[in-house]
Amino acid sequence: MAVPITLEFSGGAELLFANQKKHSIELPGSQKWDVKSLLPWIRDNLLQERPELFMQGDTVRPGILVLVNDADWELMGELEYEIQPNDKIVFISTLHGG
Amino acid sequence: MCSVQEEAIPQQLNQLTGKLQCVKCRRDVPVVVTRVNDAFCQDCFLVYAVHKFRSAIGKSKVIVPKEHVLVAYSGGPASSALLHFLQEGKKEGKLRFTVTVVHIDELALVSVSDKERQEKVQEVVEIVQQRGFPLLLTSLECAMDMVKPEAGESSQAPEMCKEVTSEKEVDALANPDKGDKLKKLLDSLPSISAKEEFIRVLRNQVLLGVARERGFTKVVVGDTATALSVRIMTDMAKGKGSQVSFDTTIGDKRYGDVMVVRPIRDLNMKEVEAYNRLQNVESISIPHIADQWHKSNSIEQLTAHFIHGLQENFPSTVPNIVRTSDKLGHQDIESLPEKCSLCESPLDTDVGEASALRAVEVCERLLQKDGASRSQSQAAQSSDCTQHDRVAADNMKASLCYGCRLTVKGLRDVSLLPTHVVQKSQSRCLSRDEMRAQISEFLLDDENGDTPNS
Amino acid sequence: MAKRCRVCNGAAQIKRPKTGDIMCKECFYYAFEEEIHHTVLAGKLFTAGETVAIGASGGKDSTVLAHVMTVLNERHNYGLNLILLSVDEGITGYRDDSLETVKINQQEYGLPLKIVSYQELYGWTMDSIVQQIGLKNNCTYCGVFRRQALDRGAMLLKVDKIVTGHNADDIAETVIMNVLRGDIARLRRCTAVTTGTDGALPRCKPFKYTYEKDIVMYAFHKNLTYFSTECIYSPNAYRGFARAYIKDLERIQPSAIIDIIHSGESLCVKKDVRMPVQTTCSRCGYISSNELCKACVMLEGLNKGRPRLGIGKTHKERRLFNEELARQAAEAAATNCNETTTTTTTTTTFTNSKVCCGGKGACGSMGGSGQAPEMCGSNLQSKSESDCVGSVSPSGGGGVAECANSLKKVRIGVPTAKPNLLEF
Repeated sequence: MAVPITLEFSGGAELLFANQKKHSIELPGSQKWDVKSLLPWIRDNLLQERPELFMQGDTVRPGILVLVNDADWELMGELEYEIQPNDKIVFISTLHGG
Repeated sequence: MCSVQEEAIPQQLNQLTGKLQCVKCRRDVPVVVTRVNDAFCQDCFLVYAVHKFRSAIGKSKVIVPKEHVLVAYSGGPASSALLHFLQEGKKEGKLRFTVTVVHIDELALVSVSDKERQEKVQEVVEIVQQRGFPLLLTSLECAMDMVKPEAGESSQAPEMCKEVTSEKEVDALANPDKGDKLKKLLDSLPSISAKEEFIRVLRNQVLLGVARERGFTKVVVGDTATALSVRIMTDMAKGKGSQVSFDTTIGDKRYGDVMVVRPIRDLNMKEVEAYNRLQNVESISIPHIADQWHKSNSIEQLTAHFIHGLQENFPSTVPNIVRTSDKLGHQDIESLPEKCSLCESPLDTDVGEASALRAVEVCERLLQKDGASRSQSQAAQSSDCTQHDRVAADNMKASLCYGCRLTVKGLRDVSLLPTHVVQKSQSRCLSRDEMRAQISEFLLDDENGDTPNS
Repeated sequence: MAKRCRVCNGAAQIKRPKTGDIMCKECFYYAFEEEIHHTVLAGKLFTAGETVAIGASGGKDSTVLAHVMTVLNERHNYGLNLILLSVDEGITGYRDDSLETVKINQQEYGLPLKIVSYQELYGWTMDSIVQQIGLKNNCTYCGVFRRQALDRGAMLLKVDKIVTGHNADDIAETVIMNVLRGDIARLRRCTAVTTGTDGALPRCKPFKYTYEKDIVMYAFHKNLTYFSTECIYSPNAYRGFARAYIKDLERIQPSAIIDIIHSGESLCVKKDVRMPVQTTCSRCGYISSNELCKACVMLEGLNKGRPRLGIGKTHKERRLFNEELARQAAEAAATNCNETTTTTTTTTTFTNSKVCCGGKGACGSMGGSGQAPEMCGSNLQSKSESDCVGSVSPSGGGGVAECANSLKKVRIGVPTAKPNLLEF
């Protein structure tokens, strides 16, 4: 069963994704998806350039905030959070000038 | 907006293109590259390195002739080089003071067998004997209990160290009780950065304890320029900016009765390693608890990684950082405020309203803005610690500097700390409470707080 | 897996990095805003009745700054007149979009907006500067020019103070940078919450103890519009190292950012360390450690096609330039050219000396760096100065004048500054 979710990129992170802020995608396959497996999937399927600006090791680069359904991912289990259908996951970069 | 402002970009490393002559004597083939692209031949380099060591002591006049100083030896390359410098100086008749070496055994923190521990310490004894200096042996856990017992009992403080004249005399100075106490405390410190900071501070306390017990007024340590630049950055990151000037100066006078001397602070790690290589100086590799820590969980390791990375491409990084600290100072020693009961540096917590410290307190205060939430947070706290614990924790906090507060943050039971630290925090706060009690009849406000203002 | 808010026990959505507290949105907004209010009070940043310019770039910091200043101004009756002040560096694609955001801010908060541009102040846009000098040191130019642009713009608006959105992360980063570079003078100044009180227009940083992550969370949850993209002229790589270090530190110990600021505040410079003396630029009156402020030196370099002037510490070319200045000053003194004319612009008055060519056929004593003064195209060998007086560009900046006769642009000589007008 594919898992449909919405991804949002902002704060400058959208620049890595062809300037597209919202992405509606379906995660393929029947395995359980968690944030830890989502990240490399994003990197391999959506990221247009410079993966080192998005990921560091197996997590996001320091300076990128992750929200799951508008809540800080640290409250949801960070990498271990299991993704549910219709979840909204937001990546905000804090690294650009203001 | 772009946050870049006017700034000069440091020089990047240029490739060394076919330098075939030593920059000093212009004759021999160079074997060492140091400073920014300077190539030295062996003889000139050794002269340069020895000169740096001797002039550091000579110019600063921190050690007077005929003085008897304590030299800390860890077995690592820097302190090994230090011992060699001293030995050479003695051989040439140029050493004007006398030396006793002290080694701190930190193997209680690592899971090695007693036999392995003994073997490692024996290696240390052999090397120090080769250098021809007397040796004192002590261990990290000795600092957990340095307090003189009450008068009436044998008024001797527990012994900090032992003289060792041959390797046969080494029975590990291991004191299992104190060792366990130390391990229990470290396990209760929540973060690795806190553990590493505590160990560093405790090591200092051991050196001071041995010096005081044996009547030394100078302790010589093998801090290189590279180590100092990492120290400076780590201090900044851990809120210990007020100690940067003490931690790097050649003669560190903050403790009052004992001065810490750093004679190889003008040599960087690469130069020390080159010296050791050319002079066949051996260092001992002793397992340490820090080996399992990583730049992803330890501030000190992250900082070392950062500085070394920068230094590769910008070779003036280390000298620049050390130069910055040279320009930093502190208030008059006499007028210095109280000392932190853990690290003995002057307290840096007497700050105005517009400060980072207050800003953090405001954060915490805002969380308890209404009575309902205060009782709720108190209820949450009382489930795992008693009123007494909380008062003790508040007292402890008040007696510590900003950086040490961070180190013990999250420590539920402050009585786990070394006895001298607990004692200092209690005696200090007692006097303030006594003062308040004495003047209470003149106080207009009825303050029901029984903890001193932090 | 619902966690409860630490304060009100409601559903929590935010974990604050500064303290690790778990909070709901409303309590977070309140804590966020009130902490800034405390910084304002503790630092005694404002007095009632003042006019305050908000440095607005359209980015997250300045948008949230405009929002919070408006909220706090009303909630706590600061009694301030707030203005949005924006700088147009002339970077196509980058700045146009962010300025659009500032205009939206203006409407959202009902604040007046003033935009000053590099073009009108200096005669150069960043695009044209990069065309001239390439990508190596352009950030240095931009930084110097922007700093002065904000001050000059604020002067035009007669504001009492400027507030900028520098947050805790910025300050921590600057502290680290200054330690790395050995810049002891800046190290001492950079943790001050208000800078520039000695003669210059004061600048305050209400976000000094506010974490960048908090600012982003606030903007996100409150749906505040902001513009964020990388400047197309890629930023200084060296500062990037410091930034990465801080972010890595924050990951290990979230309080590290505030701890660094505390460290910075606790530093104390040795008494006998030589610090640069702050004087005023002899050309435009801006505050400077040297005879000429950085912007004037850089402009000189750009206009002469020698843009390395002004980069780096003691530069051979600057030394030559200073020697040339000294030579010209000695020369001018010898020719008795002491006539002065006063030119008034819209808001500033400054006095020009040495406009006339002193009968030598050269316009302006500052003909250029290292070169003989330029010849006036109309060859006024024996004319008096009144033939030569041009008009000064109304930007209030240094001095680009047009010789009334030849319409040749020349640099006006040394203004004798009236301190209270020009020192800002």
